[in-house]
Amino acid sequence: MLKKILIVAVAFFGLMGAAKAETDKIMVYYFHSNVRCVTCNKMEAFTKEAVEANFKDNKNIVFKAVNTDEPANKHFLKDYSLYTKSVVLADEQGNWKNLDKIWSLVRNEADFKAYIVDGINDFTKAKK
Amino acid sequence: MIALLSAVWLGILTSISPCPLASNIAAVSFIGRKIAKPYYVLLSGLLYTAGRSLFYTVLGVALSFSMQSIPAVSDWLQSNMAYVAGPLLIVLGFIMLDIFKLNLPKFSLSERTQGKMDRLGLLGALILGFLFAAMLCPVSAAFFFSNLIQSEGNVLVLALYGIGTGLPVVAFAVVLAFCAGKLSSVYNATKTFEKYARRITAIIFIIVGFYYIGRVFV
Repeated sequence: MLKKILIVAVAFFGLMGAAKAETDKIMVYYFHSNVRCVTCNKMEAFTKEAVEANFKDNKNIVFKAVNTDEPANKHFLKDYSLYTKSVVLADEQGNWKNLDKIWSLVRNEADFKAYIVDGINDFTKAKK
Repeated sequence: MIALLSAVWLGILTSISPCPLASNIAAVSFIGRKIAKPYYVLLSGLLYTAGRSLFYTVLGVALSFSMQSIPAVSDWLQSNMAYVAGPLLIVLGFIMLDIFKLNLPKFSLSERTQGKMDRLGLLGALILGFLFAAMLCPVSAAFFFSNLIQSEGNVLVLALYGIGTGLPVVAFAVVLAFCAGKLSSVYNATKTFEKYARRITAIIFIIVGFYYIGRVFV
């Protein structure tokens, strides 16, 4: 009997832990369309590099490039009020933040990456 | 005041970005093609800028009544305007090369007729500015719509952003035309230079037209 209770408890807390890990996940989206431009490619690369270099040990911070010209992804335009290539941070509770200064900072790689890293850290803190 | 200066500066930043380079080259060649007439080049450039400014102002005012439609409008303009501009530039290029003849009434090239053609060219600069502004690049979409949202549809901010996007193009066209004009007068061959300038403009229009078509179809 005790063994059964133990198994159920372990399974329960295991599931709780897995669920918690999932809800802590933050997506760092880079939204683009079929037509790629020089500046847009640069922004995508800077964002990806910033995430990989600063959050490589944090499996909950995930970079993902999304093509909004694909029919399945069109909803993102409305969901995040997108009007151009954008970097958006989003969690699984429906919170999101558009890092809309990327276009002003793209000429300076260090400032751009620092803005992405700070944005992710602030977004994570705001969740706690 | 800062918002107004910032709008002009963002316009200039838009114009010197790599994305509108192709349309800027076409605009410079069109504005600067009348190398013997510096005032015409300047006026043509100002009208090109006015055309750009007009587009941003009209779109901005229209969207200020319906801010939630910004994503859809931006997506549509970025996806579809190249379908309009590409073929149009190719046709205009062929017309300038006299490969397609416009079915206009026959005129002898009297001074009056020349004046009419010049006025048509100025109207063309205005329309070209409007059309090129409508071909939203990601960078122009980013700065224009953020201006629109932050200023809540302030007409002056929108118009100044448009002026900023035209300024570098006009400055470059005026300097280029002035230098070409000086060079041609040294060689006493202004007419020949103008003929070549027109052909170069035509070829640039055709190349840029194919570039836009290729970009959306390939």
